[in-house]
Amino acid sequence: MPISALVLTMTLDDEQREAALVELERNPFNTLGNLVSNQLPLVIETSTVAEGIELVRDVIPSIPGVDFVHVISIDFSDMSSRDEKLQSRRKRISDPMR
Amino acid sequence: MAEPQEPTPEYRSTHVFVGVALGLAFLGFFVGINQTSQQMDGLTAFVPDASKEAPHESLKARGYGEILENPFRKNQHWLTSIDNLASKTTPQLTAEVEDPEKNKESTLLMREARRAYAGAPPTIPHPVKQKGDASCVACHQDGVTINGRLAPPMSHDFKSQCMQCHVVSQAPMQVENRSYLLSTENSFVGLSEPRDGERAWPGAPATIPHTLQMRSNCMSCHGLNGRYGIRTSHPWRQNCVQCHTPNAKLDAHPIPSNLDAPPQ
Amino acid sequence: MSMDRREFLKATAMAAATTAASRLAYGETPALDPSVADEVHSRVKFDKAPCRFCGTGCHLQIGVDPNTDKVVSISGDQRAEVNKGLLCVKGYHAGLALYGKDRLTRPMLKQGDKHVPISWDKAIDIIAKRIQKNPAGFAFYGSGQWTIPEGYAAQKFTKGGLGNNHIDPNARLCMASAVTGFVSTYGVDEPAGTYTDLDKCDVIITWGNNPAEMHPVLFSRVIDRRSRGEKVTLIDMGTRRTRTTDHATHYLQFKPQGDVAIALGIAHLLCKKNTYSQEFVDKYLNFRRDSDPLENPTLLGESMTFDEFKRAVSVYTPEKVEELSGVPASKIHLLADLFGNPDIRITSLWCMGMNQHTRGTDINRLVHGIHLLSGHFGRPGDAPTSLTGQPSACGTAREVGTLAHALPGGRVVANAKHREQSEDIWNVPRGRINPKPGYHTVLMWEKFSTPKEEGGDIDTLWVQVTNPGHSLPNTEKLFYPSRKLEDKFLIVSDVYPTESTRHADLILPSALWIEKNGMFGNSERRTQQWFKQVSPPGEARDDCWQTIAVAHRLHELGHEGMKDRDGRFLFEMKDEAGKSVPVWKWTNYYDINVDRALFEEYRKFTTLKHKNLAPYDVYAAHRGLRWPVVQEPDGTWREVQYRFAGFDDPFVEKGKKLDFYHSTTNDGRAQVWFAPYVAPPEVPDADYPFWLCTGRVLEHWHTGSMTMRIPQTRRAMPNAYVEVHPEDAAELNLSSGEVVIIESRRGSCELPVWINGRGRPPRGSLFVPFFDERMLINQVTLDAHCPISKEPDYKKCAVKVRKLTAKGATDG
Repeated sequence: MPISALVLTMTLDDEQREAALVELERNPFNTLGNLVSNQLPLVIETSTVAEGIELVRDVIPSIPGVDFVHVISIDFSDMSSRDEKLQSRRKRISDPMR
Repeated sequence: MAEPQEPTPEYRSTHVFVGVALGLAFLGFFVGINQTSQQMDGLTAFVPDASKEAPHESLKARGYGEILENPFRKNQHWLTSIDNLASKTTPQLTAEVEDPEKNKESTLLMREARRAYAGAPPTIPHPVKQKGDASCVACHQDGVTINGRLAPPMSHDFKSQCMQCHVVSQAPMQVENRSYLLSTENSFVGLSEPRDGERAWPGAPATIPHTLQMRSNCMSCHGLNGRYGIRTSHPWRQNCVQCHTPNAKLDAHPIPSNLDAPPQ
Repeated sequence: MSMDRREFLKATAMAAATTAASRLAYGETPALDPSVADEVHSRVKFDKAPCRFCGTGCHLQIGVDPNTDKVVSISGDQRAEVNKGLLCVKGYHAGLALYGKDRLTRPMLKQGDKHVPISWDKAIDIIAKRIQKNPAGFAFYGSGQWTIPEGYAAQKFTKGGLGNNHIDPNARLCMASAVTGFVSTYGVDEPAGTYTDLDKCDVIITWGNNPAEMHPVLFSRVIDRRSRGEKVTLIDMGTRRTRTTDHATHYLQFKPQGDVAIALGIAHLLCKKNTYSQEFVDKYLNFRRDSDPLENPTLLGESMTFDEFKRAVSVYTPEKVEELSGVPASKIHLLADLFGNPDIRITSLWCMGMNQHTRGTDINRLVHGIHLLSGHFGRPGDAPTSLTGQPSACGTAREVGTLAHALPGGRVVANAKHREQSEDIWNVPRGRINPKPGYHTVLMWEKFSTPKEEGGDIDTLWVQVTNPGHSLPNTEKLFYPSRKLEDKFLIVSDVYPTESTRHADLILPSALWIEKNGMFGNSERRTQQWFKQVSPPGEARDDCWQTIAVAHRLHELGHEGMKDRDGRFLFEMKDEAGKSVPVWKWTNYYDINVDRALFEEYRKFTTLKHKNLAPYDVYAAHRGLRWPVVQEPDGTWREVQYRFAGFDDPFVEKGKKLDFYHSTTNDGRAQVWFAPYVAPPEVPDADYPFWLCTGRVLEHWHTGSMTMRIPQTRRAMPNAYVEVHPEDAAELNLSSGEVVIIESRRGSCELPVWINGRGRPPRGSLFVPFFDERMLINQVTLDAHCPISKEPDYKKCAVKVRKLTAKGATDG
């Protein structure tokens, strides 16, 4: 179960930011830190690496009110299975072109 | 005593001068006058802490044909009076304070970011005029909140030369492409902001966990306009040092002094 | 996998994310791990030390974390009388100056193009052997940053050991004109008044001085009185508008060198309107002039009568002064009327504007003169007060006398009796001290820059506590040439790499400020002491130890000068049990307090000219004391605030109101000097149409080697610049930020333009701060100097301005 440390740059719009915070809080695997100005520290736990990638790459950035996602660190030391097969990002992108 | 022939810039005239300074400061700061480079005197040279700035919407340049449909007009933040800019709500001393500890850690981190060590004079996070007049007092005398930005009131007695101790955190003018021969790194680690004062028993008033260093206005940081996390939970009690005593160890001056005796 | 471990990992991740968030939000890293913050607070130890930047001498309380042996906090000392708790931005951040990443930590020898680390033993050996080979060719160059014991050791080593008087401080470039002004007026150096006058004066006049930036704590001390409802009239006289001007009641802008004419104009009007003090003229004053002020001015001159004085100044009518200085005649009347009013108290302040002046001695004499003539002297608030730019320009350079002609305690080498007194105190054989004054700064560097066969007889030069490669005037002539001469050897002791260390043959890493014991003497005769509070980095060692170690190595090599009359080592020191301590070994240096031992010996000199100092331990228990410090019948030590004034100075003859007991005419009277207006040596012309003035800024001190390593001050003022008047800029098509070349007949320098920046020069005038080592303005300045004080004029020379980008467009 990898643990990722992220910092989200939140929008300056108060209403939208509050909504985004509620949305983030809803996910039980998210731990929210204290907002520093418009920067939100966030720790996520996921069961697989793939799930983490999906969250960071697609799910979180798509929440209205989240402007940007910075990945600070990912801790793999607590993973039980190391045989997870991951598609490389490059390959996935280049696939349709083949 | 010979009377000088010119009007003196004594601080009796602070009011007139505050008015002028306000006009200037707000025009320049919040509106962003389009100055030519020859007029540049440091006011427009950088925008600090962009995340805290009001959300600006820059107007697109337009062609002559478009001017009729889209005429020149004031931009969204053309506000020149302090009444329009300043926060309208005056905090109520008697109102209940919600969660005074909220965001304490981030507030303290922010304080540390602007100081070399706890108790050092904070650097100025916005552009200022390079002159030596005290236009700073326009906002920092009583403190004001404008578009979410807080200008805290002075925590110490009035001093004429603000920029003697407080310098800008970013220079108004910097030459590019000049490498330093000297190293610009510094390994100093300053005393961080104290977290909690000592308490005689749980619930007792804490001692003041920081040095005072001539700061006498506790409400500057701990008042209702102060930042979350270090605000007082009981603003209706005004005599702070009645219960919160200075820390003898921190403000101690161990060397006996010739000044301990009253000067003749 | 335990739950605890997961929680721990998550907490670690959250800490990393919070730090990053703070950094993203504010562009900064938090100072310390919050969880240990309170613990550090509880163990910080505070101790006193004077600030090591300008000559004000503010006291600080320095907080040291004993666990890390590092400074973590600084506060103004509220019980110090100088600053009463207030500091300036340099003082508050002084502790950071210790922790720049590129501190020098090992001795380094130049080999080819590189500096390679060597051992201390080898470094000391190299120096000693060079001196042993040619003791007369050795010169010592220091500064007002030498602590009193350091300067005293260097002084004793050079004059009492080598019998060679080639020792001079950079104070020559800074305070020399003030010294000659004091000596020729009062017969003895240093101000009669103190900072207390700033609390008492009604009028304060700044003569070409910008204390708002250069001595901010003193300026606040006087200007903050206004916010307490007191009335203070500030008259700012200068060649450009500064932050001081913004607080001024009157601003009098004069043409460079016009200050001489203004002072003469005031003297003339005092005489003409009969508003001078008859009491002073009758009882306390003599009049004096130079018989040949242009060709051969002297320190003592010749006497003249008051009537002759009146006639001499009578040509300087307000209209004539207006023509010479550009200040309207009405303002000269205004000044003369203020001086002519005996009911107000007037304090004059000056620093480099009057000292770095080709007529520096003259203008100093004239300003003392108008204070004396008008009777604005010797009462609280009435004082001509000269400020210093270095922390111990007074204490070390002037009082210890680390000047080519001087000995400690106001003694001079040219006087046989003075030499004998010094030889007795040092216990060295008669005749050890050379009667011929050594080379003053400019001459010393000229001799070092000249090949031996052409008369350049200085071949080894040791620089301590200063940066001549940056601060000497006309460096192309005075600094760089020796670097191409094979037999010239430059030794530089410093704390950071500078322009001087870069060109040095041998670099010695020094301990800085509170990394060693020390004593300073500030601008108001206040002697201050501090103890070592943290360890120096790496192999950095005290400058004083370096001097003693070289002396001992010479002693081992058999140099006779390093022995006293009894054949013992010149710097032999004993512990309390009377046992000799080998202080020349670094491991033993702190076995005893070397500062204390040197100071107690030095103190014997101080009573010779009524500059009495108290014992070391008294200073350790005080936040400085102003000399003369005399012992009261009850055993306590009393300082003196008003020198020569009967109500305070114990050396004044009983019953006298004023007594100039060191009068050069031996009659208890001070000398009021006449000096004619003399045009500056270089004035703008068609080829070089601009005046150039140089100076400091608030954020940086001297050559910036320390303050440029403090993030707060460097970020606020990251580089030098040239101030240009907006109309001149428009004419030259220059805009702020654009880089130009400033060029004189001597050299050039590239600088960005700043229009309507910090100071506002008038048309035809430029200002450049000299702190930035990447923009060495002293390659442009003039080395012409005052004929009496030998102090160069950094404040005025002719230059042209050329755009860097447009090649060949020299339309300066």
